Amino acid sequence: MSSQSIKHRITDFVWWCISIGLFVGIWELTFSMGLYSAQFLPPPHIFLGDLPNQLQHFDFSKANAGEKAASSHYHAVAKTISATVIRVITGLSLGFILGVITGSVIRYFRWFGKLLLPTVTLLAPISPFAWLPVAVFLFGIGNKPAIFMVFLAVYFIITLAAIAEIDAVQKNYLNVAKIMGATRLQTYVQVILPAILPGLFTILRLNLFAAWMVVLIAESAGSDSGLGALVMLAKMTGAPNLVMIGMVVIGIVGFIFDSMLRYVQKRVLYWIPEVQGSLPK
Amino acid sequence: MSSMSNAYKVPGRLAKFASAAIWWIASVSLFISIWELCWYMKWANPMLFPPPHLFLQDLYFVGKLFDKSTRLGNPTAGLIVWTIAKTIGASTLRVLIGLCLAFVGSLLIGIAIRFSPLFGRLVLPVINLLAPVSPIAWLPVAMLIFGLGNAPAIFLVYIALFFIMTLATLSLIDSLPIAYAQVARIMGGTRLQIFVQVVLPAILPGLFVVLRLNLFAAWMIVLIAEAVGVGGGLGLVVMIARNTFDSQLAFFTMFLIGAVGFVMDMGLREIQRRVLYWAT
Repeated sequence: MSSQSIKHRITDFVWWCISIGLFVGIWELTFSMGLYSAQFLPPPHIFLGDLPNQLQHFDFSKANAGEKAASSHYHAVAKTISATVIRVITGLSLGFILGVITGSVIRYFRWFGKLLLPTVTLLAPISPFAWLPVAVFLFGIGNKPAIFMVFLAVYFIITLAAIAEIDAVQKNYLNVAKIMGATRLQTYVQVILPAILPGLFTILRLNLFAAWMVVLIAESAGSDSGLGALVMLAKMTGAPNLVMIGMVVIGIVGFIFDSMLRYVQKRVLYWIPEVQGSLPK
Repeated sequence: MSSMSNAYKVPGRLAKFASAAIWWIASVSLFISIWELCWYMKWANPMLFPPPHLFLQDLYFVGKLFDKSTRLGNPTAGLIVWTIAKTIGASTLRVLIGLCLAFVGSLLIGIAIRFSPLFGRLVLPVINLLAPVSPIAWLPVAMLIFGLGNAPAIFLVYIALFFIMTLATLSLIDSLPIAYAQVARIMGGTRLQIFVQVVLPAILPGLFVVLRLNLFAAWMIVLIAEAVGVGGGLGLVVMIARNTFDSQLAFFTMFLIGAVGFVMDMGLREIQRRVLYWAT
């Protein structure tokens, strides 16, 4: 059994290597045939080989007067990444919690909800990007506009999703709670909330992509640190190697982020049923 | 039960619609009047938060900023409303073309991955590798390859959707009830027939929902690409508003972007209802 699964893993790994190797190989081959220049689309061996040189650009202290210089390049890289990640996490958490609260309040207090819901529905389709000038007017430059925009990217979606999920909670749950003498508040906190959280968490994960995109653009337009500022800097100065390295870093961080949320979902929301089934291969 | 509390003698649907409309008007007018009140009481700085009557009344002045020809020193081209419509059209068209290409592309690649195991093993790891890269990171690459204009914006919409939707196609295929394939096989369907006549119609509705969920991201990436300067569109206007600290223009553009986003979502919803009628 276990040797079978090890064998399975090895085959998977070999195929992974072949696939990625083929992808990189085509990239390198077209480059070496001279189809495009390194200034245009540098192949992996060039931009990865330039890595030690490029790491210095992660240090924004030279651009920002008064900021202490990072002790090493790796420190600078860590600082840039963590600036972005902290903004995403703060914005996501605020948006998720306030969205769930707003959605529940809209359904809990009927009159208040009827008064609030149309305005929320009106504001929801405004792309978070359109809020950018407002975010900058309101919060200036720094962490706040980026967090605000991540918040916006999640808040309205989660609010509307929470309402939809509350409406879709099985009637049986509510009836049983009522028969057992639960008050309205108890029903909301102990029955409805755990019933809607798994669905909302999935929606949060789906929107992680958008939130991650918003933070990068907010950083490039309304901040002077973070990965978004780095990519924009690379684009402005026409540094293709730095562009590719920025892409790699953003890809890796995005991947880790998604795996983390997946893990949290599995651990914390353990009562979600897992969907199974498959076609014959 | 609660609908009985409406003691009107009108058909239920009409009453429901009327009550929704009344609540809508009440809610939105409350929101706007609070905003206007803040302005009237001088709590909100009109330079930063102009109330709706201010940013909507200056249509002529704001509309001029949408006109690229004035910046090149040409005479203003036609009506203000027409200029604004052209700007909106440029952005919308980019989103729609990108959406269509990504939908078809991811459907084809996704089905091909499951249809041919060899192809899948070669391609899937690359897709998994590239999927978490944010489209923003692709932005400089898009501009290096395609330069300016429509092509990089459409490419970015494609990138924003293609990887997600290919992975969604795979998970939809994998979660199909096995009975479908078994029935098709018992009835003598070949592998190709099963994929075209059973799998494809079974996953289309789900994939369309995924498309609708990601419309938001696609719409945003076009605005961002325009803001960075692929040329024209609503994103550019947002950037002008931010750089010139023109709050009237900012709020007016927000209003337009919200309206367009709403209409696009409605449109996709309608298509979903009409075309994919077999989904429940």
